Amino acid sequence: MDRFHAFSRACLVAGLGYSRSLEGMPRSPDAVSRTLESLLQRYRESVLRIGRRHGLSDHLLDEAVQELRIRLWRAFPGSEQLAAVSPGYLYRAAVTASLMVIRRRRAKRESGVEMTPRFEEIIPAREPRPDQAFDESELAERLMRAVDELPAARQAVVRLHLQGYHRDEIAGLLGWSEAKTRNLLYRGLDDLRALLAKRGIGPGAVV
Amino acid sequence: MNEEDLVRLYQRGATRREATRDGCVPPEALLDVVERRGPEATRLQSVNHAMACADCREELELLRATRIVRDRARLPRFGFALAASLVLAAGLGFYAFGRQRAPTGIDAGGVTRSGSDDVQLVTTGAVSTQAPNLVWRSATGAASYVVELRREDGTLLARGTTADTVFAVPDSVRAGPDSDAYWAVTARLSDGTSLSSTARRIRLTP
Repeated sequence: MDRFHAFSRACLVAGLGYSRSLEGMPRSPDAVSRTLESLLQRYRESVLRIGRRHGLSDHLLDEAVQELRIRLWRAFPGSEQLAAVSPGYLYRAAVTASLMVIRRRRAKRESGVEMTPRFEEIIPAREPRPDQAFDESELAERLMRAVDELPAARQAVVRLHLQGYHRDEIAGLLGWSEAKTRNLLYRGLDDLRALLAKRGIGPGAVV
Repeated sequence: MNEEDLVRLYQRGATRREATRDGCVPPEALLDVVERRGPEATRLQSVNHAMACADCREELELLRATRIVRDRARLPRFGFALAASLVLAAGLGFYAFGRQRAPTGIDAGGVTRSGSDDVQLVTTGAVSTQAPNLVWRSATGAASYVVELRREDGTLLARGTTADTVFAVPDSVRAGPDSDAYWAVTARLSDGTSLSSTARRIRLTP
């Protein structure tokens, strides 16, 4: 495989798709820099487009992209080497960078370094009345305990569903068929409602 | 409590738990979920934790999105292969139909060896002034039927749409000398899909 096609494939893995602009192979450090930045930018946008809906913040992703940038620069100082990077390598590099960032973030938390609060934590979505907030906190806690009691498979589907994942996404993540996922979800939600009803939480519990 | 309430309360409960990371699953376990490695029970355990812990969920999402980006990057090639397969299958279908019409591809019984045979043809033998009708069995859910009659070289002799299961071959088609022809029926179903018969040979006589 020639280097241009190897690089094009690498870009595909980064969510870039085939790009005519890549026909001009990187020949200088500037060209490498531009190509790398373009690759990373598209990778970032692709990941964020998928992940933002499910709580992925710009902050965590930017850290992962920066880590990936450093890794690629270190591993491929020359344009020829960068051009020959394989798609598999690029994916593994992105995963390794992500794991590194996650570990670092956890280490900071454990060492007591204050984390920058996320935007949604600074500005609450709404301001419930104090009594309502208490009621909802109590209900939320009881709901979480009820979910804990579900069998593992149903619990996973229900949790993913309640976190806003679509059935297709759940099936894809768990490696199940759509039918199995749907079945477990319906049964899981039924079980959950039954558990809540047993605890006296039924229709009308939340105003 | 409706589903909207459940979602809101659950997300509130999951958010509240993020104050500490006690009991969080290792990053590698989150990667195992995304890459579907290891026992399912372990992966479910990781998912169940991540969906109750805002930090782990965000980390899982970073890995999941990265994986999806890679998988989607493969889609165009797969999509192209799929499209190419469909074109190839369609081409082979036409080729098979053409062979059935060719003299060398005629099977003795007049029933072709390809086609879905979802619509069953009844008429065999000769179509003449005395017996001008092509008859087939009704297909469940069919709103109409498209009948085609072609010569061996593929020339279209007659084409008609009917809601019935009978099609009268026009006199003009039977005006010439005896010749073989092939006919087939496509049922248009009310749900927008269609079913096809195999092509069957008949003899046209004046």
